[in-house]
Amino acid sequence: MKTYELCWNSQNGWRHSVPDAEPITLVLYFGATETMKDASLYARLQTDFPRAQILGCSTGTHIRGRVVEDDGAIGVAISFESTRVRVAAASIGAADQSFACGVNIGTQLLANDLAAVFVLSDGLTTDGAGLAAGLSCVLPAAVPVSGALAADGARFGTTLVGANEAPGTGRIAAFGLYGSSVRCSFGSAGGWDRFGPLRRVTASRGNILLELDGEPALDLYERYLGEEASGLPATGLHYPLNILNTGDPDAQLVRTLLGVDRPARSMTFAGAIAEGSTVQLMRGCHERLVDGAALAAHRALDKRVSAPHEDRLALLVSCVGRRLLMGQRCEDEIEAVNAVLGAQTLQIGFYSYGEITPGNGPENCELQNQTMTITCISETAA
Amino acid sequence: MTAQHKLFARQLAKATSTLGQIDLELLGELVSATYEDTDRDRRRVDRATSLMAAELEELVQRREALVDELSVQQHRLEAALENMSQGLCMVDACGNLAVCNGNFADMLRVSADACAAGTVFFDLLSRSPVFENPQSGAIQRYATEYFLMTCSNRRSSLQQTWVDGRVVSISHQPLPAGGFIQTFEDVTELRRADARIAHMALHDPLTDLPNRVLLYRHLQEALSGQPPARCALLYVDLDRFKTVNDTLGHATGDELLQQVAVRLSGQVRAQDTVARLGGDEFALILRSCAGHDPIAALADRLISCISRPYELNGHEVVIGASVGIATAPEHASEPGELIRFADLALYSAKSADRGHYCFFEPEMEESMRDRRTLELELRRAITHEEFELHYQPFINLKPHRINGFEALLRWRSPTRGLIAPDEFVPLAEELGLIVPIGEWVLRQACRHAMEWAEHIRVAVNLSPVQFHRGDVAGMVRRALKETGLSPHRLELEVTESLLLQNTDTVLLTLHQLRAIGVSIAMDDFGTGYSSLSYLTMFPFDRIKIDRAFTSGIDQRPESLAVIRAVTGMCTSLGIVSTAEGVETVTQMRLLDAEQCDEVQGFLFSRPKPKCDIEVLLASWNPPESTGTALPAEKVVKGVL
Repeated sequence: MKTYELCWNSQNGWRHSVPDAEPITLVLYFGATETMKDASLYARLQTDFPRAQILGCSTGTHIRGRVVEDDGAIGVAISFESTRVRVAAASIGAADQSFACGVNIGTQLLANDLAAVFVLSDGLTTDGAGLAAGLSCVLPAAVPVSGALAADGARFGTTLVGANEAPGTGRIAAFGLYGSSVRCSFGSAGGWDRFGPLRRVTASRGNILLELDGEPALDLYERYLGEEASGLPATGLHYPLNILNTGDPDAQLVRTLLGVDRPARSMTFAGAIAEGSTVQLMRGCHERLVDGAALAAHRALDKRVSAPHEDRLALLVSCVGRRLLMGQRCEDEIEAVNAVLGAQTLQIGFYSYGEITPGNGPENCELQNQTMTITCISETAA
Repeated sequence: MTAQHKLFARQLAKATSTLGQIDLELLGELVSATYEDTDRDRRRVDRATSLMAAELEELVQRREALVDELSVQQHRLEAALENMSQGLCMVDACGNLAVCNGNFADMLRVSADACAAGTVFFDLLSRSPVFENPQSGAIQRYATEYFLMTCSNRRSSLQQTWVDGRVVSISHQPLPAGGFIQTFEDVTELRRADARIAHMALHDPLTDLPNRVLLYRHLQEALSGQPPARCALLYVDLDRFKTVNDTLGHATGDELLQQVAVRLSGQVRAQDTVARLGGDEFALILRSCAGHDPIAALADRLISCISRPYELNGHEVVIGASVGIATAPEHASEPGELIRFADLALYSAKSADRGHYCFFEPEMEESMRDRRTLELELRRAITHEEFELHYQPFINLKPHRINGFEALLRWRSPTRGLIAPDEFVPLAEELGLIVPIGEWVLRQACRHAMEWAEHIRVAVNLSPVQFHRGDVAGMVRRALKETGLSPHRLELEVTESLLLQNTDTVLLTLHQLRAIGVSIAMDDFGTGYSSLSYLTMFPFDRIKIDRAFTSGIDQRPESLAVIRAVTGMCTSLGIVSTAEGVETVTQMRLLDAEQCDEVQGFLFSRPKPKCDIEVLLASWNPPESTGTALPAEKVVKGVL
């Protein structure tokens, strides 16, 4: 397996050093929403890598090595020695179609030697938990799934996804890796701190939270945000919600805010929040978020197979909330990951509206929010 | 040179071109943005900290309020526990006492200190003298039953009589999370009350003798043998008890009944039964009795012992008793039948002559059947209006003229023919039918009198039963109003016996009648108790001297003496005297000589139906003017 970094800016377009003869089979690319709207990015990649499956999505900030950038685009071109790649795509019009889309994508990718799946989905329309459940419903238990919900930075305006086409809205795309040579490992961690009293969800509907302790949930957020409340839903990312698992108090299930409905005083989160459950506000401390990213890297590393560094790709999916909170210090967490994975690992990625990662339970994957989630891909010698 | 901050180094790198030139403006922007980020984050932290503190403060207040409320609830719970009548304990899943109240400790006779929360429950039980004998250490027999219940996982209850005599009801309720709740209730008094209630259900509260229900059971037992045992059932009815009750009051009457109960109980053996059936009726069951004579002897003894004088609150009281006897298996072997036969025998004993006993005879049943038939016919007679009135005149002696007529009731039965009142009035009185019959008589007599001359009066007999069971004054008012008869033409005849019972009430009614304007006569004077004091109780308008004296006036000097005394008294009191049963001119003349005002009898006329009265009035000839012995017999037309 060989990996080549692709880099796009408005002055130079795509720049890369892929040899002409290299049989690139998979290209992944992530860029600012406005950049990704430019169909020429995809067209050029198609021209450069005519035999490759090409998947991309929008983001507010992408990760290139140890650097984060808000403008331009980043990509990776991969040539596998023996691993096959297949792409699946679907359209989504509303959140309640998420489960069915998961089933659809999973069905398209099913094969006996399917080794792993990576999925990208529209970040504003998709119920990530539903999508994960749909995929888990179809795929064999041994097939891990990771991925992300496409993002639009703090704007929450438009998110784009494309598989073998120019990225568009309302799209879900995934690739499957087939064969026995490919090795994937995963790590995910948050580092957020719970704070304040425990609160009871007294009214909710799916992923729409209406009331906490009998009070409109939006009132609580506005009170805590003060003057920043005008920046909702982006500023609401400073206070993700931890959903307590009474069976396992240490397990954290974090949900991040996607939107608010001021007249209804309701808030839409990236996953369902059951009525009657107990939740707690969370806040981020820079150092512990960085520690969280390093922990995610350690977890991904712990599961890696031994392979030369240059053969390893690390796909980093961090949450937009972390980006907003850490600002310019965001690169600290990227550096922390890089310090663990090693400078020779090619690491690219982006800040998302939700991270999909293989869970600890029986499911193939689950939706996480506010985490650093890392997918390491390598290939053993044939 | 001091090491650069990592962020600043990154900012500096971003602001430095590939040629090494630093873009100060860009560097300034990056650094400034960092300061702004830091400030925002600090403000966010401040705000969150402050809000969280307020929320925590509110939570603390809420918790304190909750603690206060829990404290109040705890006090309430303790008050409820300590004020409940039962002993209560709650034991946790580990078998340790969690909660108990003071009554629990009291019930188990252990100290309150021994009942501290956390005490091993079975240790506590072993310290209770209720379950373990403190001297010998022996476990009470009932304790095992209780211990087994305590170990059970099923809801259950039991009742035990403890070593100290208490009867305790224990209920055991396992709890879902393990452990149990038990309640202990001292039901000793309740059980005693139950026993008392059971006793009261079968005994007469006044005399504590068995009541009718228990008598029946005993009779069933006595007759249940195979072949049926010989036994006798005696029904005893007290004579004149009602008079005692009416004259000396109910308290004295009750005391009399208690003394009678003692006397009766003293006459029988332990295996026999003496019961009170109610009122002045008692019954005895004699078991294993042999033959007629011993039973008769006992009945004699019973009557004799009851008839001995009683000393009641300073009064000496004498009553009598009548006894009806039925024997098994001669008369019957079934309890209900034996009771009916004893009752019939008692009825017979009372009807014949009080103060005697009477064995059951099959004819009594026939007689009772006849009586029932007569009763049915009598009731039908009322609805079919089978009654009629006959009239007998009463004659003024000076001058000789008809003053009025006494109305006399006859029953013209379609099956029995014309029946005299003495054959049916006693039954009508007993059944209360005399009230509607009497009202019909009064109304009919008034209606007839309206057809006679103004100076002719009509006399109607009233039964004491009408006074005791009916509204006599109201009845008279209605009859006068309906018929239009002037009150002064109506005379009501009562007998001495009326004044024997409820004298005050009767006198009140008599005065009401007098106020209406009708006359009141005393009938059959001299036959009953013949107390002249009755004449002073009420100012009667007329006294009717009984025919027994009239018939003997010309043969027995004592009859003449009585008539003389009565007429003399009437003259001095201004009361009209009337002699009944005058059959000869001699009798009439003697009565005239004794200043008797009026006479009545066959000498003048037998009772006649209303249709003959017009003829009688038109052809009226005084006996003396005809000079014959019985001139009036000429107009008698073969009626009674």
